[in-house]
Amino acid sequence: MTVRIGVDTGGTFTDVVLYDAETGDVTVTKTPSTPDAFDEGVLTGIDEALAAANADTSGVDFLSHGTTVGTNAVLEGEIPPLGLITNAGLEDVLEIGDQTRPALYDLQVEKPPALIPRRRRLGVGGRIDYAGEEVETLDEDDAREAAQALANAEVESVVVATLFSHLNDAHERRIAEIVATETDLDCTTSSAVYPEPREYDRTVTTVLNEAIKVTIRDYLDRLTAGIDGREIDASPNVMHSGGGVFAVEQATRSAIRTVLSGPAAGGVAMAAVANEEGRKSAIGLDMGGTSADVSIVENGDLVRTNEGEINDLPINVPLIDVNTVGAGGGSIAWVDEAGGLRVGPRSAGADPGPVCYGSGGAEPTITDANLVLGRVDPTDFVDDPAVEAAHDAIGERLADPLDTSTEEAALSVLRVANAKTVREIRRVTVERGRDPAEFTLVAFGGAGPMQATAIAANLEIESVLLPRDPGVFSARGLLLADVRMDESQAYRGSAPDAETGSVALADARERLLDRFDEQGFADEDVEVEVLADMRYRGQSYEVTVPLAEGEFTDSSVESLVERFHDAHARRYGHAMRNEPIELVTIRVAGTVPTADLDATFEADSGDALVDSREVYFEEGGFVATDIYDRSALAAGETFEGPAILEEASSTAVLPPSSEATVTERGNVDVRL
Amino acid sequence: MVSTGELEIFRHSLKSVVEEMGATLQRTAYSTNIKIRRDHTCALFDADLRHVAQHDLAPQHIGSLVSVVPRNIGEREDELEPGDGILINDPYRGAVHLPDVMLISPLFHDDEIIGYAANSAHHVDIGGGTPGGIPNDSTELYGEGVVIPGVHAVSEWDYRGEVMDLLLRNVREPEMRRGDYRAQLGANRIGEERFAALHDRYGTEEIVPLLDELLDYTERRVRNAIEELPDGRYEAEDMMDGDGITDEPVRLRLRVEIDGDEMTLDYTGTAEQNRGPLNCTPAMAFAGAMAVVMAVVGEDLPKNDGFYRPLEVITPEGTMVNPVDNAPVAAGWEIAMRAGDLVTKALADAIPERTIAATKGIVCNVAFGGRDTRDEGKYVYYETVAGGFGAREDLDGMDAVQTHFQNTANSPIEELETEIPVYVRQYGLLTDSAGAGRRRGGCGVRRDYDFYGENASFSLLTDRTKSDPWGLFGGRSAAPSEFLLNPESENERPLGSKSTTDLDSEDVVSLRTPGGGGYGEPTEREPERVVEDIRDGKVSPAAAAEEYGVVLDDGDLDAEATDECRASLREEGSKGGEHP
Repeated sequence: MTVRIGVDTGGTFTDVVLYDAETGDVTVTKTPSTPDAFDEGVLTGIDEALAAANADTSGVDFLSHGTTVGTNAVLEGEIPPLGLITNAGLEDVLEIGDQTRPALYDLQVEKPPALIPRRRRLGVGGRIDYAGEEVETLDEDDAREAAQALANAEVESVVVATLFSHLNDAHERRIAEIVATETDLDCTTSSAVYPEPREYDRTVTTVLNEAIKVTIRDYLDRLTAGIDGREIDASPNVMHSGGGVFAVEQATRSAIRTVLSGPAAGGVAMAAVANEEGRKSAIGLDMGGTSADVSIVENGDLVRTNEGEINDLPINVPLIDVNTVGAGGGSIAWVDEAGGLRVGPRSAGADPGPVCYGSGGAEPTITDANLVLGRVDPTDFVDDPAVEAAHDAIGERLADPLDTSTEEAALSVLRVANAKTVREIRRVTVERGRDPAEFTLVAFGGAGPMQATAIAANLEIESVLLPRDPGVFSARGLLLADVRMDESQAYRGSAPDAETGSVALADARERLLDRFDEQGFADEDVEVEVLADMRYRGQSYEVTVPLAEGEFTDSSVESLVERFHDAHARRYGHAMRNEPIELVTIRVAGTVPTADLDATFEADSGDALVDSREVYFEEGGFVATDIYDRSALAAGETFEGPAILEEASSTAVLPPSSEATVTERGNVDVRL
Repeated sequence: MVSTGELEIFRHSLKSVVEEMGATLQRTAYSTNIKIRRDHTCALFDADLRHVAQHDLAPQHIGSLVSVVPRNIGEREDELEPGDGILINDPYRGAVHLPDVMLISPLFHDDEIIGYAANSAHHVDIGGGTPGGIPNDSTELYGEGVVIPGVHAVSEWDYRGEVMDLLLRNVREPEMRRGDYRAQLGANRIGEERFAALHDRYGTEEIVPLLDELLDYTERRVRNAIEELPDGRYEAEDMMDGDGITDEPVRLRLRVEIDGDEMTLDYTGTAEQNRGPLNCTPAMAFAGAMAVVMAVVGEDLPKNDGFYRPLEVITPEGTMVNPVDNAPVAAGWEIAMRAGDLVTKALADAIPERTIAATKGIVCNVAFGGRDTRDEGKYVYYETVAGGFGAREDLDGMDAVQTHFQNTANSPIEELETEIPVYVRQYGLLTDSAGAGRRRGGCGVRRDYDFYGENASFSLLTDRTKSDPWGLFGGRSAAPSEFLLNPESENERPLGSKSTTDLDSEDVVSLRTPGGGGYGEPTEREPERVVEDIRDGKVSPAAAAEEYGVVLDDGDLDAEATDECRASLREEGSKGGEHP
């Protein structure tokens, strides 16, 4: 048998999805995460999934893993002592950053502390200019002194970052050589990690990468040892923020790419569902306990960006473009001192959680409002007093001050929360020049399917897809993710021309294919996509455009320029066809496709219609509502709202006068 | 009575209208200033000219549309047709400085005016003698660019050809500007579409009570927040460098009065208007103070008429915060910035745990231009430079940040050196620039430009060379700004804070921005923190001994010597450190 396993580690749970490629069976397990040593929870999860599927370790041929170890290291500031060697006079670039402060109207705000303190940032003489020419020779004595000083300071490794090294890395390479000769320290150059313009972005990206490298390496070493010990003959692939997976060595070398990978797997699964149901434009709504992540599919592809942020620090790596709204199941509803009903930004999270969890939460949350309205099954909560407490919390804290019924107050909580999410979705689609009504909403995460239909109705979206297994959706994305790696190369010139472009592209492509080669992939197995960051001269932002032909020739440059004008017009509403154009960076993205899941979809036996209970809707208050067990709904079945779909990990609400169909793939398509 | 929760939902829907306007303006604008720096804002007014929603981006736009729209629409309400638009940037009709151009459009639904959409965008050029619209030597508004007094510039959602021709003939890079004007029009058009849709959804008769309630609700929240501040009259003043024409320091004075749930900001006692460009309009004086008031009363408050009701701002006519007779206003934002500092100083005794010491207190406008020997072209560049943030009760001031209403990013050195013939030789924190204190202020910044092109001219339009950013409660003041030509050479000479200098090839200009003031007695600072600052070169060993009484022995703290040194410093008594 051939088995594929995806493991998604979250703060609370580790989700495992196991797919048997011969039978098409899918097995899903959930196990507690082990924050002290996350690898233990991962290994336990794998053991449990194998046992549940009655599968043998020897059959595992693909293992894919999403981890937050790197993210946590940055969030918690676990940065080892590093040193920086840079241009004399510019030692503070890393600390000044972009000179802004993180919040405008907050006199007590703090900037993130410098990742390397000033005493370990040392300058050396020597200058490369804007054209990549050396205009001042490198002062090697300075470099030797700096290397010695950092060795004496006992740093763990040295980052070298000098001006314009993305155009000419000679000074950086020479400094690195000197560090290697003079000391035993590890050393990395910014031109090797992130060869792109803008010195602060390049420096901070390289420093962050170096800072979490050790943490990631130690973690993956332990995990790999555990996997080897189980005689599983598949080395783990690691999810990165660009929505692909890469091998352990790549994950270590480009550790920073694991940092914003949290929402990426869900994005991949979302895009897969949209595509398998033939939807070219989709909005993904991944709502959990504290927040909701919104991602977008246009023309069948996930929208990506190269600019992310964590802890107020820029992360410039290819990312799935995800926008976060502060509304989740645990968001707290409250009445402010002026009598306004508000939801969030505070959240009860998982601990103490909503009032109805009975774990000490006193403030009513979105989940409590759903319970009061009958949308959540009250018998899910064994603790009766807690259910009552949820009613009381909404009654006393919201309905009384607002002078209304408990149900109306609860309904208002949902409407207010949804209004926030609607506003955010409108903003991100309008920014792209699109009307949200043209999209399908794909809702997942524990709380997504509960709010999705109301949010869609507000956006005039007509179709909502509820994918199967929404609670372990991210783990499913791990099984689907392609092996994907990206490289970039600064363009040494201004206007795009075939000759200069070919030189830069050859360089980037060679580095990309080397990385695939290290993972055992032959050149011909890799699909290489070529992209160019371009702008009108004088602009300080770029638009990324594909070089569809894959090579720089006179004619492909011509069509590249046309595509740039068109893309600029689409994104920004106008093109300036007579203005000079600059090519800034060439990007190559390589993928080796992962086989699709041909998962069988078979409904459980038994009646799908399991119950009926009173559920409160905006139109007409409590009405008798059919309750379906989603796992027993077979492909092709259709039913009408009002209805509730229940399953282990989430609950979906279908309003009156909606219709739903179960698709061949087991997704539920709700038409509003 | 508005139903439960409906108000909050309505508020989000209204906010969505102005956000869509903002996204449209930003997406379709031509200039980087709007697309990336987001130097624009959008607002909605109802049919009674009440300000009901604002897309809050750059805080310098707080208050500008509020003051312009009612004043300039009230008199011509009856003449307006669907698709009309009024263009205005006149500082003497409620606007700010000339580069901020505002477009106001009446919004129609079923042939009735339901409200107004308005937006303000900072144009990179507005004509006048100096590219970029910030000349430092005008003695009249006319030298600063084209004045647009509230012109009927748009009919049927299109700019009127002759108006646009006249306007664009008077500005640099007219095609870029045309793109930005079009983007402003597109934003208002989206505003009409979305606000009309809201009327369709709710019904016009339902919307009016919702708007009433929204403004009342906002007012209640602001009053509650002001009520929590201790009553009293709190005063502060400071000296500004002078207007660049008459080089004498001038007084800026602010009284903050908290009376129950109302707040008055009174600029009475401020110097008379200046002949040079150091003047600001009442809208600018309002915005400068408001950037700090917002931080004190709560940043998440909706921005609408209800917000402004409990606030009064007094700007005596003929002073530099309310000039008359078309005085120039190009350096007005420098006054607005200092006004923010004065709010924190005035409130020091009222809310010592929430206020801060003086910040860098300057916008620091820097502009330079000349001939680029690399391609024989001409160049112009504009930027602003960060400085120190004021120390807080529990926190040091941040090093090298923008302050108060200003939060614009810097230009990467690689971008600057690619665009223009210059090398940035120094860009770093200034040792000993921060005010000493139990919590120290933030460090100021040094930025040195080495020019290698030809015919370069370097302009400064800023302040703070003649007075120090103050400390609070025993904290010391920080270093002022200093501008030098050819520093550390035989030819070194100081440059005025409002000056233009013709440069020879290979001249170096060095900017040193002010630090932030300290908070509390420096001798109460934990010696370990002082040692850390010495190791990072933020404080010199000499200043550590002199100001903090901290003595090192071979790089480590000498506890005994420190105790002795501190004892003798205390004996001398606090020397300086202004109490408010």
